[in-house]
Amino acid sequence: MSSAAVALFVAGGAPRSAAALRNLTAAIAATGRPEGTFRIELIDVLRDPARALEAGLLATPSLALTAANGRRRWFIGDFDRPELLAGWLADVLDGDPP
Amino acid sequence: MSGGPMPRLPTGIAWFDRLTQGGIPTRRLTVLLGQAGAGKTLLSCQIAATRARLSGAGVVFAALEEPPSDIIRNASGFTWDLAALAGRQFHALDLRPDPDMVFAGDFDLRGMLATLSAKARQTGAELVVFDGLDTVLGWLASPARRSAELTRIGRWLEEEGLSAIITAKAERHGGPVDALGPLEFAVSLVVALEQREESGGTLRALRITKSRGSGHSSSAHPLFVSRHGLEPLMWPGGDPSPASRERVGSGMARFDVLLGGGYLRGSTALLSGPPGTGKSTLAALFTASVCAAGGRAVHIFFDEGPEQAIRNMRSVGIDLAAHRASGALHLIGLQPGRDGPEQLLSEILAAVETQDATALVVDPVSSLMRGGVADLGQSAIRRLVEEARARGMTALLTSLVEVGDDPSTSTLSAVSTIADAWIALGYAERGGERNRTLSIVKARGSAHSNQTRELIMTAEGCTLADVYTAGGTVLLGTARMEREAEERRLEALASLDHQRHLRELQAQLTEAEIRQRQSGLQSEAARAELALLETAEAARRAARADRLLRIATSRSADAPAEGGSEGGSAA
Repeated sequence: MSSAAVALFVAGGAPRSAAALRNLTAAIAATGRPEGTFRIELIDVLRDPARALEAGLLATPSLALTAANGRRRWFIGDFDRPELLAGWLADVLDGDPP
Repeated sequence: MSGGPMPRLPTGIAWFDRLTQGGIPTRRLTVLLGQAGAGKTLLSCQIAATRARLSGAGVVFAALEEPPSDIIRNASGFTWDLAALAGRQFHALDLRPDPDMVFAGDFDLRGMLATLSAKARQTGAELVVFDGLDTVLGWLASPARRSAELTRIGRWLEEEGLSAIITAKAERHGGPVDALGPLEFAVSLVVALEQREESGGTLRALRITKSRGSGHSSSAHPLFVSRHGLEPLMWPGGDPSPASRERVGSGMARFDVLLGGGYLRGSTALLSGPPGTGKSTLAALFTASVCAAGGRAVHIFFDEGPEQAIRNMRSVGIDLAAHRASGALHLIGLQPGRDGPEQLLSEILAAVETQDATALVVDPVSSLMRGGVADLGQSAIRRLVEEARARGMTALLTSLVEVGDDPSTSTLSAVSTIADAWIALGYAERGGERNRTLSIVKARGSAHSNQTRELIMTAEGCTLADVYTAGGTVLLGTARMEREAEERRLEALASLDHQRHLRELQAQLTEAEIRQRQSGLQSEAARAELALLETAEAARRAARADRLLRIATSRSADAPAEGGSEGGSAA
């Protein structure tokens, strides 16, 4: 079964951080994949700026999706349309990134 | 904002710190605005490198547009040597956005600031450069969101104790680049860089369009790219150092006398004249004289190559090759058509610096003006004059005067006002021949001769001939020589005349003396004769008296009458 790493970079408890996490959770649910398909990591760059540096982060919230084949794709924003994000998540999982 | 002067971080770029009254604002945002190619990234690298060398602290360079490798390569070859600082004090981060990045909803730039915080703490940086921040700001839809992010960056600087430079592209709508629009309030210093391509050169200029906490002039300062990076053509704030009173020999003793002892050290002299009047020769004489006296010279040729110049000068007894061999002289041939004035200026200044020159010759300086952008060429020459003054380097610029030159736009009129001294070379046509002339039109700080002299060039060297005037006209060449010969002849004649006269007088005197002696002898003879006559008369009288006495005695008559005549003496 294929899986994908999902890293969400947020900056502290800003409203956009909460919105992004909420929208991500909704999108994952919308894919209908079994639990554990997406390995989610939440990174607060204010507490862990070294992770931001490591990623060369520009904006928050940012989502890095890494497919099983190692391909990584960046998504910037708070995902105000979770249905779009659900589609992208599925694509990454199927090895066909958008 | 609190009152009082805003603390500044000196950049170590002397002219920039002078223009900005101290450098970039500490813990504030400085924006370098300009169109593509205006030199924003170059100036930001220049500030980063010079500041790093000045303070010993690090710089984080956020490369948002160009890859760091390109930035370091483009900034190589400058004196501040960015490549040597890379990884030590200059920490470039490749933050170019992934082109496949997908935007989905609202975001802010806190992620980028977190990245930079980490790097700054890791490296001990005091300065952050955001190169091409407009690319990232452009992701934000509204001006309000963009200014909010700039405000965020400003606050972040205060929190982190960092100062920052942002470079951003600006559109130019006819006028100068200065539009930061609603973003401007978040920024303490705005420097606008302008660049315009003209046939003949690139016009660059810098203006301070905003400087919080200090007064500033918004006038445009023309720039050029030298080995030190961007530099103003004119040193901001006037004369960099006072003029010297020291004199530097021109290479021609008689000319030095005319100049009041030679050229003033640190001054710039213009040597103008039509083709073949001896400009290059006089320039080379100066160069050789400086080198012979232990100085160091840079001699720029435009019309010919150094080898050709060496050959030409050898024919008038000037040995440039020897001075080049000793290292005292740096001969450079430049092509005027290939590069614009700012490029040529940059090469000349680089040569002056590396040679640590005490003298500079540009032959001819008109080549700096070639190509259409007269302003730029003139600024370049002005810069040379300033450089000479600042270094105490004596400069000699030659300028070709063509017949029919428009005096109002010619190099001559432009340069003659900038230069400290102006020596006009020319021809005088008279009696079917052309002779070289030299006259000093102006010489600041010198009591100089205004007379026109004849410049004589032979295989033995050059000199100035004395002036002969006849009926208000200076005599030159054959006319002068004729005049000289005539004077010599007249002199000889006069001398002969004198001697003849002297001899005549002596002869007369001798004659007179002889005559005197003769007459003396004559009078002696006469006196003797007279004495003889008197003696004879006395003798005769005595004889007569005696005879009369004897007659009277013999007649025994009357006593003889004294002196009485014969016959009448008888009473």
